[in-house]
Amino acid sequence: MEEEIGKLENTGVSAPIEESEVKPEESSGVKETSEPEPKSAPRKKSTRKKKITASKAPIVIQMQSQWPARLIIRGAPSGREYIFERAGVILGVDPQDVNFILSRNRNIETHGIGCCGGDRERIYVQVV
Amino acid sequence: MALCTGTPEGTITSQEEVYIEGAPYLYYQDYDCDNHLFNPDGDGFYWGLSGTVTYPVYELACYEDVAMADDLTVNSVRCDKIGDKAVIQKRNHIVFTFALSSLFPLTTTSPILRGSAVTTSSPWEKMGIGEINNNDYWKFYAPKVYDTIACDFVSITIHKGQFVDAWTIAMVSGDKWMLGGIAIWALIDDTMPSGQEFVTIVRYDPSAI
Repeated sequence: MEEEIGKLENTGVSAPIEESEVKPEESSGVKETSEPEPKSAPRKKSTRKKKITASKAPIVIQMQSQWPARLIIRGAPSGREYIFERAGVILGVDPQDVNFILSRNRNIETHGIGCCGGDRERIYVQVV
Repeated sequence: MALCTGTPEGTITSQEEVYIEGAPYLYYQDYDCDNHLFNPDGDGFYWGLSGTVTYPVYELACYEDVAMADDLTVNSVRCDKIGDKAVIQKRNHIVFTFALSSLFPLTTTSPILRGSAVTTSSPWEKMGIGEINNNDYWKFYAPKVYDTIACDFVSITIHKGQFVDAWTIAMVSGDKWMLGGIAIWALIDDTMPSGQEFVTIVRYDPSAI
């Protein structure tokens, strides 16, 4: 440390630096003369095969509106609102919302038979 | 001898003892769906409807007083010396009328009322009535099965129609709401072959034909 202070004084540093403040790594223009640090041991190559990970894009289920109107579905578990502007429109739906949306469909067993021989189920949205 | 019974001589084509009772089923579909169910069939006739996701077929449920009529412009060729020598007729359109008492869902009724596009958001269904879009055309299909065992039927397909005339919704005490004044004009569809511009009628009856 005293050698370093001496070097600083010889180079024209005006203000003497207190010994306690001198840290070899912080002083400019002072080359470290300490022994070179040993190189870190090379990391061993892993023998396991590298995992191929899929894209981290969110998984969605494609669902298509079968209803000839502007169809808005609210109250889904994910909190999202789905707006099918017209029949045939396909939207990506959060997987946790699929069953909720499908429960909107009306089948004959749960909702009875249509009028006057019209025994047709009413499908609002289907999975594509 | 045929003359003794009052029947004419020669080739005679007689009618069948088939009498049809009641209204046909009524379906309609957006005219923008280009294809009929048979588009055409093997004999060159365009008839029936085929629903798609984008262009579904709407099925009407409960209706009354279904009627079909011709609308013509008729002018006689009159020679004052002797009378009418001929008649010039021009088919303007064919009219299909009925009154509807099943009004829901609004999706099926809005086109009849010439209302706006419907928004469905459970438990709501909403529509408006504003300006009429005169570019809305529809195809109609009216089959009547007159023998449910043999599946004999006759059907009427209107290729290009519009809902016209002012409708009325009667709200009578003790009675159902009734949407009356519904008239469909079967307009000329010049994409159809000659002889089918307005309507195509087909009949299926293996036992008689």
